[in-house]
Amino acid sequence: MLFVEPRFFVFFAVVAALYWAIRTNAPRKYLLLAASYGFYAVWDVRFLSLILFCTALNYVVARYYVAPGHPRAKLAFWIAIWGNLAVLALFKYFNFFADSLVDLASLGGVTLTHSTLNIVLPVGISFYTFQAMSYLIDVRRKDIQAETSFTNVALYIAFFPQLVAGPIVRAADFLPQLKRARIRADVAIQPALILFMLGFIKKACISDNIAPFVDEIFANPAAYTTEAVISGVLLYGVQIYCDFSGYSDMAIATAMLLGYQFPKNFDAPYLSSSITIFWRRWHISLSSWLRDYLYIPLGGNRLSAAKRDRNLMTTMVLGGLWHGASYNFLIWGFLHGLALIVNREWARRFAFLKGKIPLADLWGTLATIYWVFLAWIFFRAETLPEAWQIAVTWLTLHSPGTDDMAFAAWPFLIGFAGIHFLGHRYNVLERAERAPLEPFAALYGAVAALAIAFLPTGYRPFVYFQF
Amino acid sequence: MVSAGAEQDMRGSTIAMADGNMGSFSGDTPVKDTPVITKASLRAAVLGIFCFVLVGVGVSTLYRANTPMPEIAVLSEKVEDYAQRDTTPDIVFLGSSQTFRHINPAIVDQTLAACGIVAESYNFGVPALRHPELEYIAGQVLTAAERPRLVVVQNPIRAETVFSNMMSERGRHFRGGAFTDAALEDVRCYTGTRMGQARSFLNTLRAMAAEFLGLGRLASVTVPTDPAPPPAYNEAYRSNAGFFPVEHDGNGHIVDRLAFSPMTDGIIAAGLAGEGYMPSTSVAACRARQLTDLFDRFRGAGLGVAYLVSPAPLDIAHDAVITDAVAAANPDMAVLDFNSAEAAETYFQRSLWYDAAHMTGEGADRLSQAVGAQLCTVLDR
Repeated sequence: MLFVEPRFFVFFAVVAALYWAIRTNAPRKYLLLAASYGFYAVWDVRFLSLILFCTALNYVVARYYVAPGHPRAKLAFWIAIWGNLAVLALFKYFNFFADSLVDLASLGGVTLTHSTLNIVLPVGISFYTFQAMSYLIDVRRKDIQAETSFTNVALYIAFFPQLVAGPIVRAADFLPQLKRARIRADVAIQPALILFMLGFIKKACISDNIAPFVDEIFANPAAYTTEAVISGVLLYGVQIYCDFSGYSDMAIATAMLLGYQFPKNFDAPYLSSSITIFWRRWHISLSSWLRDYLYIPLGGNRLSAAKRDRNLMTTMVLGGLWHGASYNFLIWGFLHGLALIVNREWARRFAFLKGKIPLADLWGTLATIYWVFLAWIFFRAETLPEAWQIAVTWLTLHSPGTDDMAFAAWPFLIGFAGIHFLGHRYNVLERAERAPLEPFAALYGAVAALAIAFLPTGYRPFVYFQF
Repeated sequence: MVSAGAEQDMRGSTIAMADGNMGSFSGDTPVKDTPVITKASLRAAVLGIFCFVLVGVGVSTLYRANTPMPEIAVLSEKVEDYAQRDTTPDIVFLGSSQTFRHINPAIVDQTLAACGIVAESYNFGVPALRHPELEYIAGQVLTAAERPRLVVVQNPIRAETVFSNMMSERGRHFRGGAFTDAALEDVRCYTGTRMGQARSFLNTLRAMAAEFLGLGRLASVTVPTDPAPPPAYNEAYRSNAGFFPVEHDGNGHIVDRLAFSPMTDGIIAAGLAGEGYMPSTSVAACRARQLTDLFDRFRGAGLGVAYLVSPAPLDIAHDAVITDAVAAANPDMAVLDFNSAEAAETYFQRSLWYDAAHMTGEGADRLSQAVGAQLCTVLDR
């Protein structure tokens, strides 16, 4: 059930109507929990048990074992962490590591065979296991108290707006919101509706419409001209941004309409003047998770420059692997790690140039986009040779192909860049809240109709659902 | 990033929250709140829905007015070919793939010639033809400068149930604009199960809403992607100059049918035993009325009409009920019924069938000869 499907609108309308009709907090949470499990069951009912296992494991260990002074707190904590990671490893990485082992052995002349289990990847597993782990770690660190209510923990992990593709919500932000019934004053309806519409347009009207052209280029890059391949890469950058940030917008808006606040997940990332700033604006909930639970525990930047670089690279490579079990994601993470290290080194060595280079931010933004889009090639391509072929065209501005792309990419890209810039500059949501109700409704209805007229036939799953 | 104990809402302001001090709150105390639905919000919702429909319908209307009818495999080609013909055929066969695949005009003409009637026949059959499309083709025949003497109408297949088919360009075209009534009538006279009718009705409404509101119409103009290539039918069909046996047709749709809908001896035996779904008499009467309205338009224009029931073991029981109703509603009309136990010996042999619904070239030739022979009588009247 995608956020852009009519059945989701029906589902949400029913849930929201019942939710606001109920006047007490506990029944509301039961309703949301049932709705969330129902929402997930539409994807794959078999894996509900995995969510329940994950919930029970983290609830029990946090509640009964990781309490201060418990003699086995440390052991229990690590068993639970490894339990979460084991679930992730089994469902997401087993085949990758098994295949890699066979390949490695064959390089050494040893023939190994393994029977692939053909394990299906449960939707949203990377998101909810990370959320669950963050809860446990926060309890262990005493940042939050262990939750006594199983329903609250279950809802924190399975709340349907963020269940399958984030944002990765922190327990410290969400659990307090479950303590009291939300009231009408908690809901900024007009901004929520606008945010949902923006997300819908990004996902359904932009991302899904350009996806077929991107697919064509990435399926057979050698056949296309340089301009077409470059356009294909740029369009993919737009596609994945609109797809993922569109999903996040709709998730945040859906939660808002139920009175809950989620963290912002994107903040005009393609306007970042450095790769460091990019990672503060792209998939913010994941990057801050990696920062708080991986980079800082590894030592962060408190140690020597060499160790800091090692920590950065480790974090980014593991961040790449979080997206999926393939060498392409490893390379994607490596490229970002490398860029972050270079960026830090540049900032340290050339600090004296600060404020002396004309249009420094613009050059920084262009350089960031260039590198980020180079990395997207590895993120998107199905195979390494295919990625390499496109990367060579991106780097050398030469492709042997002769086919043109059947899409006016450049006017579209310029238009997108303009909207990206203006959207960052003007706070549409703030204006939406101040707008008088009736003109707002009239305009909203008209825009909704235009958005529907721009839908492609057929829905495409969200790119991040595979993670 | 939202900090613990306070929420940064999307308006940029901070909602102060007491969530951090809720230890004593039971969570079961009813909360006092302002109503979510007020008169003002209802008024705004109505206005929003009105604007939504207004713009949607505007887009849809503009699109339909400014874009030609979509290219529909076989149908578009036949319509174009029929309009460009130098001579008007004497007999036109209208129907679904069971006309398209089963009626060989050359054999019909030869048979007629053998009984002394010089006539030219034309196969206007179109695969998956539903009632609104039949109405459209009938319109082409009726508005042509010269008209045939006789129209042979094959019993059309029941209304579509599959939503994705309805959302194809063809499906949407024949559910919008002037075809809305015919499409709804087709569902009303659905001759399958109640469940099938309910599915057809629901999906038809969804497809009609999509068409009514212009779903995807601006996208199809601004970012047109290559649609799936239409099935390639043999050129011989287009010009009606020849007849191409189904077993020699490489069209993917028909080849696939061998796998998912093969003919078996069991199907033939079950059909002859009278098994299979039989529509109620009221549904059959509805269908008969639907067809009779069409026949009356032909008769009103001075054309003769005959009703053809093509062999189809799967539908023997079903067709019998419909045929009786059609015959009752049109007592003077010739009914060419080849889907009954009497036809079993001639047609219901496994070797004559390509899949569960279509005969091979040999079966088609046999049927065309029989049709020609019966038309000798009809035209002789």
